Amino acid sequence: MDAKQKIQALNKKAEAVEALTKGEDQAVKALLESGTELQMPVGCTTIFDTGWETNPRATHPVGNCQASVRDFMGCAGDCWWPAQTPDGLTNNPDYHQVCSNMARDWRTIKYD
Amino acid sequence: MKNAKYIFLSVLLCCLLVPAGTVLARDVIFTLGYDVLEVIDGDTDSITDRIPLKGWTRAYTVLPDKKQMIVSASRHYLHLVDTQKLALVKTLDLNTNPEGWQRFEFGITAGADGKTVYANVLGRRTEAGEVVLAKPMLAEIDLDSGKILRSVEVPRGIFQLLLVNGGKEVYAIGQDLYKIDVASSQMRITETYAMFDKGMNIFPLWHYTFENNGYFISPYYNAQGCGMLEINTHTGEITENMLNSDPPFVYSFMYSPDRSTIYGGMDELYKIDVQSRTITASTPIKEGTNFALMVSGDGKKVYTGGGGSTISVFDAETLKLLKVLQMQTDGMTMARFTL
Amino acid sequence: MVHEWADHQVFNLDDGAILYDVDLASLFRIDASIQAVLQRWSCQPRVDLNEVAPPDRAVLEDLRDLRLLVPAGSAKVWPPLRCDPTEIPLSTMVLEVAQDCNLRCTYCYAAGGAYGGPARLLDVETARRAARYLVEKSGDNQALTLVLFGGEPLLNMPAVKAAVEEAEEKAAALGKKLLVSLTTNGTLLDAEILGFLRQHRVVVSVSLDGPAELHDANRPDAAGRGSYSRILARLGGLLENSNAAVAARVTLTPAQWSRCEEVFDHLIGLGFHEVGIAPASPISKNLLPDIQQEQVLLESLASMARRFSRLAKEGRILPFSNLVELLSRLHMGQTKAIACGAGYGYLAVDAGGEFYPCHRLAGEKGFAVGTLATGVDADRVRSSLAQLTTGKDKMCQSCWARSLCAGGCHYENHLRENTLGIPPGSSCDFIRRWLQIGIELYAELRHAGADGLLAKLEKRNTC
Repeated sequence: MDAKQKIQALNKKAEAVEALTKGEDQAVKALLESGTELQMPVGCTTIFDTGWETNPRATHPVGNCQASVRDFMGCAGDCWWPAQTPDGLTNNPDYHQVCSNMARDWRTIKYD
Repeated sequence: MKNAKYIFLSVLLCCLLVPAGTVLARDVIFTLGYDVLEVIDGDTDSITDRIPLKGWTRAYTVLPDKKQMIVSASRHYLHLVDTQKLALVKTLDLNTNPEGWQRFEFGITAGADGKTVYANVLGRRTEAGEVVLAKPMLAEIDLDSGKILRSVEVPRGIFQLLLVNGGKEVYAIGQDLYKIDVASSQMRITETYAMFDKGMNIFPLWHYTFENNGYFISPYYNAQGCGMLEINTHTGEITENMLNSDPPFVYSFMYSPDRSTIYGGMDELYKIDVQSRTITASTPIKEGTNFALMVSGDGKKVYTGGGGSTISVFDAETLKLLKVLQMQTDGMTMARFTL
Repeated sequence: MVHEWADHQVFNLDDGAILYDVDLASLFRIDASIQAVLQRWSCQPRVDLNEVAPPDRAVLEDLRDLRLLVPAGSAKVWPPLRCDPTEIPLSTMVLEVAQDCNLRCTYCYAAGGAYGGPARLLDVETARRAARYLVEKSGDNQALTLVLFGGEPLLNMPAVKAAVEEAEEKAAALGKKLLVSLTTNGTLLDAEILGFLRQHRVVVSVSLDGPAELHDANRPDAAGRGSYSRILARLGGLLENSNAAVAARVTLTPAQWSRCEEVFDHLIGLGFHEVGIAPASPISKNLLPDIQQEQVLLESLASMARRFSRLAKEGRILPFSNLVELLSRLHMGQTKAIACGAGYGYLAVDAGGEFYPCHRLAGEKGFAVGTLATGVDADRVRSSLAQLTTGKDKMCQSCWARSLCAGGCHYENHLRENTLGIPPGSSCDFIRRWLQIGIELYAELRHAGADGLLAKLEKRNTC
């Protein structure tokens, strides 16, 4: 990355873009599987769950996280994102009774 | 009296004519939700019924009578549902077993005789404060008693089961595809169809083999792009083909009734021509990400649903959005029965 | 994955270049080797990074990280999403307290202060109503600005006082901060007025065009006499006792554009804290510059930029408003979706209580957008400005300066296109060259390490 020194951010906007990149880079490095030609971050067992991975496609939202509201309940039960959603296999088997429609019920999200 | 005879004859004639007339097949679509199945009438595309059942539903398998289906929920309930009476018949619980195992299913398929269901089962229990994990197994479960009749150890990572070859085999799809002989008294893995070493990433959590008359199809992804894994469950034949277009990102594929077209969906709905294996049309799904899709029995509509609580109905030809249905709960997938 | 280039512009330097991202307004300095890579690849609309061999690949990946290469199909399109005028609460009101003036400046866009109508003064009650309107319609804005304007606002002190006092009271009641500014020709300042300005911390801008002979040529009174000496007599009191900045606002005609530096130095010498120089608006054909005159002005501005740079190396800011304002925008990387706030949080009220999108458009037929009695008509705001902006998006789509300019002053465009019948785009080249002066100055200041100085500019910009 020594090419970076040859491209020098001048104004605050440029610095902000650089900071974004650094932040992304760390997150992406943590997730990237080596040898993945498609260079997409991998967050779960398979590559294509929408959720908190960034969107590599030219579709909206470009480069950002797809809205996870539609993936929440699908991922909650089977423990796809153990840190972010209630785990239905062990600790919160009846979680869906509190929030069965995430877009409607998000205000009552509550789990340990 | 003479008139009565003529009236009788004409009435008889009309009755004979009626079956030959146009009684259109009617779709009934079940969406698997949370503590509920919601029923959609395929003519009016409206929600007509709700069948309460416990748990977060995940998958379904249709019994050979094509009238009952098993809906799995919370990874341990197996709900037997009568799709014509729209009622829950009984519930088996994998956690109810004499050995005290806490069991989870990851893949189910109904057995050929309508009396059993095969399930890929993981298990755990505590012994003296320590967790003990059971080896993953393919179990054949008696629908009457809920007892495991027989089982065989299988590799970890299986996510889907298909009944193949008239019920003589079960294909278990995980990192690789394991062909399991279930006809002999002892079940055993006879062959492993390699996928992992070929760099194939496959996640066949959603499939519509029942609605597609026994033809299974799933997307897979490798370094070159997107491919289609097709299994003819009548013969057991497996084929792999790469899509000749830029990879669409889809959770599942489904055939049109005549299998000339494949639909795929996740954030966009794609239409793929089978002959050329190219994407011929696509449209973004405004409602957002969907897990599943369902082609109507007449091939004219495509439903996308699962994920959120809405189901979008599209014209299968133009991919124009026709309607959005609001479910009570978020959903997982859809099953279609055509009467 | 296939990428495409985000719109960008390269400004050559002796060693390397400045790279400017058109939509983000981010500025980078690149060395010669990066510039060579850029030249090799930027002509290709689409680039598949997987097919680029090293070492170019690493450079392109870095450029991708900096958003100069974006996933194919995702490059920003102009115009960006624009907001609805009804969604923007008021933040600034320009109140024309006097539609009258004691001077007859040659270039006045207000036609001698009356904006083409009868000379009249804003009555006190209406002044208070206008002040209340500003505060009432300010939504969640915590900082409001009241600009006292005209004609010559000091001709109507009762209205000035009423507006300021009412606005202060109403703003304070809601916990809002009020900034008051006043633009005056300076001929009527007296001790009492100075006292009032000091008491209310009014920021004053005096219209003074430079040395006596130049100023008097531009700004005679109704009897044809020059006004310079009269102003100077009163200026001392203003400059000595001010507790707020006092700026000089200069207007020069094309024939005078070669004298920018002289004018600037003269006014700084008089004691002004800041000087801003504006080219006269072309209210008539004889005020329309020719190419040579534009060139002269650009050279004058470039010369001011060089002075700015020299002074910056001593850690001081040259108080030339034009450059300070541009540099602060470039420093922040401010981008615009529309050229200015006219009609979008900024409102001009004339002496009859009629609303216009801004003070320059006041009195212009077709630009009335409401009254104090009926409020702002958002449709009129949209449609009156649309007259000027419709059909230009395509021109702007292909211009590197679009996020900095966003179409330019509505009034200037109105004069050129509607009054003088010139096709749209006649100012574009000038604007681009002016912005380039700013960008090159900015890069030079950075290169010289004037970071502390540039940080001071952050306060200037609240975007």
